[in-house]
Amino acid sequence: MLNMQSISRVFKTDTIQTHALRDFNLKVNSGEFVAVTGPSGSGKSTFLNVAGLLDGFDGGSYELDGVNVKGLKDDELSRLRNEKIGFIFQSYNLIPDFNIFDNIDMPLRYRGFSAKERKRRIESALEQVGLASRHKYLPSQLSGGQQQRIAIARALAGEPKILLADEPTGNLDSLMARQVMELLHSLNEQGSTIIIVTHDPDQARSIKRNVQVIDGQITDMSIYAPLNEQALNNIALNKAQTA
Amino acid sequence: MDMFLYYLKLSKHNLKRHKLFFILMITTLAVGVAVLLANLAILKVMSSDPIPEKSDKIFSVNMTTWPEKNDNNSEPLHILRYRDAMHILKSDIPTYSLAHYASGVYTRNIESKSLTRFSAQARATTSEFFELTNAPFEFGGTWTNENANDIVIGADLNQKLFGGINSIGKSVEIGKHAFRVVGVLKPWNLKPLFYHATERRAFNKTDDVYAPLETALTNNWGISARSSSTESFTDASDTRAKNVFYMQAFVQLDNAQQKAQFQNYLDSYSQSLKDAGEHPFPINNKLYDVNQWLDKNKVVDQKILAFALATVLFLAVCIFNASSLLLARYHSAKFETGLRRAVGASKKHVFYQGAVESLIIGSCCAALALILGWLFLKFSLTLFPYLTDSASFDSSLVFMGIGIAIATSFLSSLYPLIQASNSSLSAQLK
Repeated sequence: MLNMQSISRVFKTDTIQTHALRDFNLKVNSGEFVAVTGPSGSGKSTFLNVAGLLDGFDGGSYELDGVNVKGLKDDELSRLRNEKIGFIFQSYNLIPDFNIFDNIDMPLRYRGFSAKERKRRIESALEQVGLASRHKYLPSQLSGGQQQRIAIARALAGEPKILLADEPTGNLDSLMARQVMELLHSLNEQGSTIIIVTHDPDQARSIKRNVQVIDGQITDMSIYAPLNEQALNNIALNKAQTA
Repeated sequence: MDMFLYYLKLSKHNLKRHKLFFILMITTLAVGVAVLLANLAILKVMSSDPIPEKSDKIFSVNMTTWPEKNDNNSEPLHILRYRDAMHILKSDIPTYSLAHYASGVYTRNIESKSLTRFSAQARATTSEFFELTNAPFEFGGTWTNENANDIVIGADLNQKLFGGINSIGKSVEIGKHAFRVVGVLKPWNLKPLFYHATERRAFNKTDDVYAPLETALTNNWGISARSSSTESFTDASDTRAKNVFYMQAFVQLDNAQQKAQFQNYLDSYSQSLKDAGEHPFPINNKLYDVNQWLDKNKVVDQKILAFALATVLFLAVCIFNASSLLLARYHSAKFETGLRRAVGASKKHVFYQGAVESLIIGSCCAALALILGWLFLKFSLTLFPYLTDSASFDSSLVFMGIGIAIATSFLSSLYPLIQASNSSLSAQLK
């Protein structure tokens, strides 16, 4: 599904070169759920930007669902982003004065679907995230957790090959965070490939495959046994007590 | 089409979202376009072709027949002596030819009980005047006898004297003599007045009375235009035999052969005068077609040309202002642009959406510019009262205004749009 080989990304100013990613190798298979962890400034977000085709890279090769993305033009990259990737952001990134329907509709418009098909997909995505009756609401009329679920619905509506989530629970309280994580696990169980960037070790522990990034390189790849319901509850409880 | 409708929906949404911003931007552009349009309306009248169907076939005759050589008078003159004019009229080379001079008379309906006389602008001319200038007749036609007391009157005078009825056969008192009306013109708005473009008269109204040249001279109708002479004279009728230069002559030459023949005809005449010792100049007769004649007489006011340049520069300033406003707006909308790009909008999508938005702004700007332009034109015409009847927003100016408004709107959004569509994606989203 995703295959990065020796990826490097360098940010240059007049005097300084910063290697955000160096010799970065990662292969994610279809249906996998991967957590990318690491300290601030380690390159997690740069990795996610490169993986999501929001940013380019300076060296190496990157194949997404069998397509070599190197050298693709803007039109082709946009189409790939639209068709194969679903983004979930920490700040939800919903347009505040568009209602839920119009927010989810946005990526579908650029795909050229008919009005009927768009409606079908939006309703189906809202159903998947459990907010089927809220399509006329404005984002501000929903809780943070609901807004993030709308953002997930927007990502799901295009039926992407892979979901990329950047700290998707970073702005949520523990209960809502848990609901969102449960939703992501459920989507993974239904076959979605998901990569999530997080700096929450407990959250990472709930995900089967962990990748740790330090100084732009992968330093550890661990496979965990999926946590059971009790473990997830404990994580939520610990987080609530810490808060 | 679907995408176009989506762009329209987004633009409508943006316009609602940033009302004040768009009002400011539309007003900025509309003022610039309106000032330009008002100026163009005036410029258009001044520089228009008064008789486009044959302006390249009608020529002002300029001759070298002045009898005395001074320092700077070797250029041919557009004012001619009676006998020079008669020589031109005698030629059968032109399709039509005319000679004329301007005069002023007082007129009264001879049957009227009122003794009130109306001042009238008169043109002493020859019968082919009307065919050469394509003057539109409402009733009757031109005179057939160059010595008869027959006249053609304009629509305004017909209204004043006869209440606008068919006045053919009625009599008008001019200078104690009765003149029979043989023709009445329709309202005739000839701008510029090419047959009398000299002495800043190009934007005068067409005349009230047209009378046969011989009749006018016999009745001593005064010369109310430029005249030069080397001999003194008392009455207009004296000018037939004296060196008094005051008549203007125009000919219609339909092809190059006719023109060459007529040029030879004039040159032979000038040469014969020179051979007889009547003038000292090299032969230098000139034929100017209508547009050359208007150019030579600088019919387009130089102040207007300077003002036109100023209005173009003003519009450029308005575009820069609108552009900087848009740049600020796109900067504040970076998040939404970035989000759209992230979920699949290409640079082209972002650009097209902005272009549709600028089309809507341009359309609003066009509507406002036409209203403001009309007001500016009314104000400008107080400075050029002689253009009041002619300068207006015709359909071509309206379409031009709409085009300019949309183009300026697009121009002002071009740089901000390029900036917006090229902004870094990853920096906008968290």
